[in-house]
Amino acid sequence: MNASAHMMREGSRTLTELESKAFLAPAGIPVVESRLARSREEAVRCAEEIGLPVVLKIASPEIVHKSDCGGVRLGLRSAAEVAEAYEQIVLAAGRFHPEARIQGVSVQRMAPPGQETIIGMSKDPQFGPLLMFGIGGVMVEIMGDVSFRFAPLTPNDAREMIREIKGYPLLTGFRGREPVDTDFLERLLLDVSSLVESHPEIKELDLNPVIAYRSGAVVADSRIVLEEVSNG
Amino acid sequence: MGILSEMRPFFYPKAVAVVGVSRETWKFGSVAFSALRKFSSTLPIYPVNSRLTEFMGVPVFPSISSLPKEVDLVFLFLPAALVPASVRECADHGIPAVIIPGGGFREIGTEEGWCLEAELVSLAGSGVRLIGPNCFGVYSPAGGITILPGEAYPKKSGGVSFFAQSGGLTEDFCGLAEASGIYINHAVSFGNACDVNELTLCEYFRSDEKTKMVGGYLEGLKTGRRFFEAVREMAMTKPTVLWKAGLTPGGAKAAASHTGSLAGSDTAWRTFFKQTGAIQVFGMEDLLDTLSVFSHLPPTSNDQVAIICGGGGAGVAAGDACYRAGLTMASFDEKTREKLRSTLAPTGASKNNPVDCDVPFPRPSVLRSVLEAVAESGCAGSIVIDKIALSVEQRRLLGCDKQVPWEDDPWLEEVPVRVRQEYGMTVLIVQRDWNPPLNREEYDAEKRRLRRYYQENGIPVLSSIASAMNGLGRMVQYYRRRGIP
Repeated sequence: MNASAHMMREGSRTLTELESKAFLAPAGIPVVESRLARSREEAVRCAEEIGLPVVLKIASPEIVHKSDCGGVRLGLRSAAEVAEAYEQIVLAAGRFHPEARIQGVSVQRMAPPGQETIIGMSKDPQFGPLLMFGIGGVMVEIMGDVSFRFAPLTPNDAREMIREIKGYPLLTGFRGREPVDTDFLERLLLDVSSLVESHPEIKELDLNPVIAYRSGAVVADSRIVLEEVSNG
Repeated sequence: MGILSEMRPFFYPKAVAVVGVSRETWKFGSVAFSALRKFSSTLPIYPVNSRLTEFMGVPVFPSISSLPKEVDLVFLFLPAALVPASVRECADHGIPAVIIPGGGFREIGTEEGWCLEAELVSLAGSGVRLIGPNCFGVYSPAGGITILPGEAYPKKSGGVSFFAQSGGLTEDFCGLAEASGIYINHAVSFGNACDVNELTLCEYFRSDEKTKMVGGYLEGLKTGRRFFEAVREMAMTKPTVLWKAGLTPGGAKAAASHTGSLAGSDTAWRTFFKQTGAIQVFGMEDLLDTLSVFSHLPPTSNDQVAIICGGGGAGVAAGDACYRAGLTMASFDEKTREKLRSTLAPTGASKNNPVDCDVPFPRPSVLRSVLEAVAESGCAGSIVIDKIALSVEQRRLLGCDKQVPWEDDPWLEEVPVRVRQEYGMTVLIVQRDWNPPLNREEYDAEKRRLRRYYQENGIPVLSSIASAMNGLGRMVQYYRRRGIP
């Protein structure tokens, strides 16, 4: 059963991080592997299998802004830290969102630091899927430094999207920074474009952050909203 | 049937019928009949009215079904409730094209209006193509068809085609174009777009060989994504200049939020223009200025501009306008600067770009040497001339013949044209709206004469330095995108 069918049966529209990643990985979009742990013990076991350090995030279809409610813990380096974090996250999330269905926590390898970027998609009522690219953090949130193109993208569209943002020098080695793999980001944009074209039921998509490195990039967190389908 | 042959009767009809002429000559049907007759001396035009036998000295046909078979375009001036049945009659009689100028449909917001409109929409596939309702129709001078009531509009045809929802703005465009040196191939106001809409016209203009560039005014869209694709396709080969009305700011605020709210309609349209390569303009003057630059100048993406003006302030203003339009002020090489130094007055005037001729009425020989030096240098792709008197008559009306009485060279006005032709230089001239208080009327008439002379010789004449630079900037950007040097 694919993620899409699963969520429609539950009548839910926003996919959890784990379900989103199940959408992305088959489309060739590199994601940081996440596993769902339903208990403290399971979280420790997952962490040991994946390899420390790890990140724990609350897994609930109702909780979109996971860090706002204490639902994210980064850089956990031991089994004890993982166990403690599990308890704290579930408790904090439950306190903030008493109505939320908490499935457990997602355990993922701590992605090495790199340049955070954002890829998003929303639907324009006239022209269809509109893709967005930006540099993560303040550049998007405060500066609004983002670029847009309608899907399907041509390779040139993807190229322009990345070069058009004001923060582009941050990607090419500004003042001794490590340059990142913009060719890879271009291919990633094209893959996201193909994904939303082949899945018209995707209404919104947020890959945030997409951590870019000298070679390659990886989606560390993601959120997908599906069109409401009333097929019982 | 292909789009060209389907749409042909709207633009090049064999014979036209006006249904709904009336004894009351002020009524739309009668006005249209008379305008069409005045506009074309060769196109057969038949009036239709069941209660008249003769109208303006012409026999009246009692019904659509009694019309000669050669009629392939019908104007319906009838109350809304009678329109659907008449369209059916046209279809049954084998008439392929109908223009419905009248209102009383969706736009009045009543249930009856919506029902009548739905009926028209359903008739659109029945072998007859419809323009309207609620529009001013079509202007196609080569086909003898004019928009209402444009009986006196130019009969000369050109390479610019235009479409708009709004009839009033189509009429404005047709009326204003000639002054900008723009000649129209076809202009269509499609109103409620029951059949022919923005997409139909894009597809037609893209395939139509006589259309060299396209202008448009849009409010909403009926064909979102398909229109996007059609415009992208068209803009690859024909400059496409669109005025999208009804856009409000707010994009900046929205951009701070998450993806969903980043996609406001302002964002969508900005993306539309970026991605299709169509050129966005923000008003009628802007549209005319831009099309005028495209109409007169050869394709170039050279962004280096030389500014020739009379006075230091004008030069500074021109420099600002140049950069704001995304263009670059050309740097002159030493040889050119030396030539300018030897030509211009030793004091005051700038010998670099912008070239300041010191006064708005430089000696003709000086103006010629300056323009030739800049054109020869190869440093600039375009020359923009601002605040310079360009004819002996203009100098006289400005009173400068008294200041420099030794100058009376009738070839003065030919200087920019010679530079345009002999050096293949892109030249733009700014002619301000201002007239000297003493000789207002004569000066204005002389400006019109000069404007037409320059336009006929491939030089656009704009009314401000900002509009000249904006038009040029858009052209450079457009051809750069197309990879034209």
